[in-house]
Amino acid sequence: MVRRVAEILLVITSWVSSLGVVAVVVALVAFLVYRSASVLDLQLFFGDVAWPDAVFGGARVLHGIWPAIAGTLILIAASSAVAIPLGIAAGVFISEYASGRFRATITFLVDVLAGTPSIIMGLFGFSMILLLRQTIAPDAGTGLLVAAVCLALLVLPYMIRATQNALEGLPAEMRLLGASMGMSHSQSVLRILIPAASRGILSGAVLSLGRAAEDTAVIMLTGAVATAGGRGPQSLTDKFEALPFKIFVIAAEHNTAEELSVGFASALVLLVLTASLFSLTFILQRSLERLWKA
Amino acid sequence: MESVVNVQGLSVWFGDTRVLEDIDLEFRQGELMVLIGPSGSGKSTLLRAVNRMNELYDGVRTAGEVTIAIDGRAERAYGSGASVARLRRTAGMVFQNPNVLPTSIRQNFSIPLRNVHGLGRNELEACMEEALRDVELWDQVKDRLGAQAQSLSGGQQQRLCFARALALRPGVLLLDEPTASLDFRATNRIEDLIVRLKERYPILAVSHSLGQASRIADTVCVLSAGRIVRTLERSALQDPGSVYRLAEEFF
Repeated sequence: MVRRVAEILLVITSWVSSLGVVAVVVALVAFLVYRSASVLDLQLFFGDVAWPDAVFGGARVLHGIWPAIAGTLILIAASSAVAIPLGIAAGVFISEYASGRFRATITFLVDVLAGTPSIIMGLFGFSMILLLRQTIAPDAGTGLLVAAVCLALLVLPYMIRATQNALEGLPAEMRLLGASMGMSHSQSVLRILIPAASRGILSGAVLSLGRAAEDTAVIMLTGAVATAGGRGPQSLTDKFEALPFKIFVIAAEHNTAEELSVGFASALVLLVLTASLFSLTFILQRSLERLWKA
Repeated sequence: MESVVNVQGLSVWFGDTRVLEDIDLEFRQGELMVLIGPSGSGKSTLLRAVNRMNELYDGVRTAGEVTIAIDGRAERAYGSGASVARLRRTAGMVFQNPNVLPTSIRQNFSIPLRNVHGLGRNELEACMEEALRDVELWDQVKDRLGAQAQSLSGGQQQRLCFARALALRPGVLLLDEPTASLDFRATNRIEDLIVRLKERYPILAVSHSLGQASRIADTVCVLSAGRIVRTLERSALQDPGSVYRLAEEFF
């Protein structure tokens, strides 16, 4: 009888919990839409500038969030370009090549990195620039590249751990298979194990993209600014606008209700942006997997 | 007849535990040798010592010598300068559970054949068809080579594994309890296949079943606690009395 009740309670709890997650997400999106509805139009993005001029012509957008969108996109692209390949490579190394004490040491260091607060990563980048200015590069300054590298450092452990877990979770007999057919270890890793683990690796990439898109603490110390002349970053050393920092600034300094609405709209845009990136990553992974399976 | 695999004074340790102790074994062209014994007796370890698969586990130490005929020449498997990849290519292996890749039937052939033999597309198709015909699977899968291998039945998957091993042009087959996970009917088909393949390849198989061993083997080696304690030839296997005594003694 007690067992029966416990079972029913368990079923109810798990239903309520999963519905709760759905409810929270729906409520969040609905709230953002509700608060930003009054400003959701092209003017939000580009102000009074015609959008092709802003996107392709480099026209300055002084009243719009386009520069922040461009900044965030380029920032995510740059930090992913560093973190995703490096993270996959490190995860593959730990899972398939390292052994014994060396492996334990690296795993521990990855854990330390994963536990480092993002503000510390920002400070790291900031002090690095100070050090460079005092020594070999007196002209060095914070900017897109520094921010991207520090963000990459922040998301690297997610990427490493996801890759490592995905590979280590493969069935033991699958690991033996390549070797038993006379494939070299590297062939086996590249042609069998990594493709078979690609879904797990994808989840690491999604987590990394999301983290890089939303983080504010790192970029506010390494080159993000409230207004960067109405344009997206033109070079890797430029100061840049970014959506999360923009939202932070608006929340802290808004004067009118309309400005606040722009903040909510920016949050909504950031949400849509990351969701689109997730879908893109998902589609990419599934196409690669289909290629391997076919 | 010339010996294809010759094992001399083989001992294997996993950590501090000695799993095989001073094994001598020889099997020849055209011979089907079956290793039986209670679980933990070291029969799979002996099988995997031939193609050095034990080395994929941590803390393994091997002493003694295994000589195997590769492309007609006797080579020392554990000699310095021996190519492990070439050795494993020569010894086609089939596992206990059907070990298909989670890909299409076609990719199960093209991934190993491309990487191991560097075959192009046309050779690959021919090679795959021949191997699938050998295991009598071709007619069932020829119209759906792009289907997932895991959508086949257990017995079909295991025959696919045999075909994949054959496509790699082995010199000897190593079978690690190939019917242990299959039902009665699928087991029969695999046993028929093994008996047929014996004409072309020397086969070393591990079996969990004394009945199976006496049905298909030319020679049966009984292992117990890491040693070969009895070797029986075909004639002795036909005598139900001696098989019964064997079962009484070791199982």
